[in-house]
Amino acid sequence: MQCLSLLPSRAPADLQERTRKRLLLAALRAQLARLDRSSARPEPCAPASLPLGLEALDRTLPGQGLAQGVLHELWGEPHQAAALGFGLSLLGRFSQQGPVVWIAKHSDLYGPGLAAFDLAWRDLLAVTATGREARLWALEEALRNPGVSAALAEIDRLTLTQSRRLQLAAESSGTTAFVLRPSGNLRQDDLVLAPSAAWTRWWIRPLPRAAIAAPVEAADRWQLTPIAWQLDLLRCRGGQTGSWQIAWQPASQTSGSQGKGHWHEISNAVPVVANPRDRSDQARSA
Amino acid sequence: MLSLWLPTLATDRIRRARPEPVRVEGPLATFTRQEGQLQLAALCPIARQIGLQPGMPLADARALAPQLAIQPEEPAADAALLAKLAVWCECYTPWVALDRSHGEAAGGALWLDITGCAHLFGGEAALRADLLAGLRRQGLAARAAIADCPGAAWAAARFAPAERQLVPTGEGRSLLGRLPVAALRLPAVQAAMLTRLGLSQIEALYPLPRQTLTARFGELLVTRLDQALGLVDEPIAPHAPLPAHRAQMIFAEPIIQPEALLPLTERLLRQLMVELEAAGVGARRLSLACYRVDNSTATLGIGTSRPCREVGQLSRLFREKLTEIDLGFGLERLILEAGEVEPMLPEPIAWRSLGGCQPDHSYDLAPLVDRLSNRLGKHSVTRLVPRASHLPERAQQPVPAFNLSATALELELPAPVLAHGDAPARPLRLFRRPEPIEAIAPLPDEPPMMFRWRQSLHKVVKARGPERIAPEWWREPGAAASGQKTDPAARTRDYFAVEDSEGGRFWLFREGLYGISPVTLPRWYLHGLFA
Repeated sequence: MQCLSLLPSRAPADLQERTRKRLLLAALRAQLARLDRSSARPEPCAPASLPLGLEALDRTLPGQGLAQGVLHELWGEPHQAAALGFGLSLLGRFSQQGPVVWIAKHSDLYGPGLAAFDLAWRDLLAVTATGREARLWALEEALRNPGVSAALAEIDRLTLTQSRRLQLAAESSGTTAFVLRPSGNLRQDDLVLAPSAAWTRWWIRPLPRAAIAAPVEAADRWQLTPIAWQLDLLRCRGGQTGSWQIAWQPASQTSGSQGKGHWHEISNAVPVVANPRDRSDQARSA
Repeated sequence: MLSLWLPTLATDRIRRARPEPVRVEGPLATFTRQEGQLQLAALCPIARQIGLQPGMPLADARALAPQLAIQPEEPAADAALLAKLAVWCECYTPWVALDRSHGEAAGGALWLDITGCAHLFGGEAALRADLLAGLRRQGLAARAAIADCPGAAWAAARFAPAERQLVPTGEGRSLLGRLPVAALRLPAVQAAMLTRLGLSQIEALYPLPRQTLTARFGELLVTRLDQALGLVDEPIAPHAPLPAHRAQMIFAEPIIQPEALLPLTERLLRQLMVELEAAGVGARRLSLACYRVDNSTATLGIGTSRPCREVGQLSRLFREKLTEIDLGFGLERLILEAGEVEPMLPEPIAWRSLGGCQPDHSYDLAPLVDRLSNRLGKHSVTRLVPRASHLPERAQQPVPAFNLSATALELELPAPVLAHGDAPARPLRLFRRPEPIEAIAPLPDEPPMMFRWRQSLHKVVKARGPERIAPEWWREPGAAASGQKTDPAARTRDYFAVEDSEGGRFWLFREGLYGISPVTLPRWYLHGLFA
């Protein structure tokens, strides 16, 4: 109100009115922001973020990187390990800050395969729990320990309340949480709309060789594809969604990145549009 | 020392197992098969009164007492009941032992070393009365005697009249003197021989020269006599290892509110931690024994991955489990014991992150590992330690993080071969059991063209391989020695990394080679998934 008195007295009435409204709105916004995150953080601010090292991705994500201390959802076909691979490559990044925890139903994670994602066995605590409730409990326990830098759990169903709980647990300690969820026969629309308090939602599918290589090379039966994914950012709080085709370059093949693996974007790739639902339709008609 | 004798344990067990309406009121006996004949084994007091004897043929007993109820003998059930009673008796003293100095036919017996415990119950007489009343409530007839040494207590429990079973210090000799020689824990044959010779009372042995006694009756008699008189030491080993540290709480009114348990446990923990601190140790394993008013017990235990004295941390571990306890009609006693203690480490084990290459970056993950291990079981919280083996499923070993020492974490193992070409050589998921698949391969040594896994058909568009992995013959000395040597060629695997039309990448193998056996064909399996 003090500002109002500074205005020239001869200013038109509507200008005064507009300024008053703008100030009021700003005050209300600040109040809302304070209410929104009053418990965990003293000041409302965007969470710290970890740059992923891939420019196209970092540019899209708010804060130039993956938000830390929040919940992320990774969706993928359970019979393919693409989503797990992407999750582990993220865990590999986080393992540089502290130990990481992996929680699943069966203990089928394979150590020798992990090294390709810069994840040493020392950094990883592998937890197996049969029940979903037990897995959720274990994830929350891991999140409440500030020593853990990130935790990934394979959880098939997650209600809004449960995801909010996980999000709060992650906020309280600054530990980043990932949940790996099976996409099954869900369509992209369903994936976007599924309710959750997660900060981001990713959909990861393997990228077939045919989509990234020249036709001649693609026809070579004995040339296996490097690790390559179709990555869809379906939801992102405070940011934009996007779609990328990326490949993971394991450490031993790279020379200039201090022995670390890294992502690179595949420029000439054909985006995967195939819908899991289509496949089941085909199967039914056949 | 208190000697407890349950003369009719077997029949009491049968009687109290039956509910009230069908309870056997008349004489009751158990029988056993001896040399092809059914004989009576244990008898209840009523059966003894009507003149039945152990060892009597069952047919004779039936003729004498047609109303006799009989049951087959069950020594295992008797022993189990006695073991349970031993645990129950631990509420009087931690030092309880099973007394095996006579056959099972004479019921069961226990030793209780009540040194330093009697005053907690208002004296020896009060303790004995409390114990006998407790057993009577459970439907067990019992005799108990307290004396300076085990031998005298044993004799008094079995042969002295009830009012003289509390033997005051120094009066053992005079009391024993008037008891029969059988009170010396001698074999029946020897006792009978002594009686025949006129040495029916222990008194008669006192003036006899030791040398003559030893020469005539063997060493046992003199040893037993000395033990009864307290002249030689007789060590009694407790049935459970004695915990060095414990704290207990007895309640005037039984605890029936489950929510009261946690604060009480914390109080016990604080008591115990003071004791542990004085000893300079930390707890690795703690057990909380809850004694219910109906004389049953419930025990729960927790473990920690390193010695711990933090009340908060330990009570968090207990909190999960306390809800599992059934309070029944209420708890009258709580005992917290430190079953395993270790010297405190000067500083917590650092769970170092070597990936970060930051030497000062250390985290204490132990509280998390403890919480997870105590609820999920320690084999569910592991670290994937690499192991030198060619076989993919043996190349890693999950080691419980609970047991992993700091030195093991320092261990540097050779990094396995990882990538050839652009794609990694080993999958990200490896199934514990390879899953059988139906595969169609165009040529014997070719990768399959298509395969069916979990009821869906996958068309192979890319393949790499084969990578041949033979079985580790040096790990099977037994099979080679017993002669039934399985052909290693039949278990040789050819691995292929394949990619299907949707981009899914799989690790398949064919077990066995073509052409080695006309009977068994090689089989295909899916072993893992690539990212």
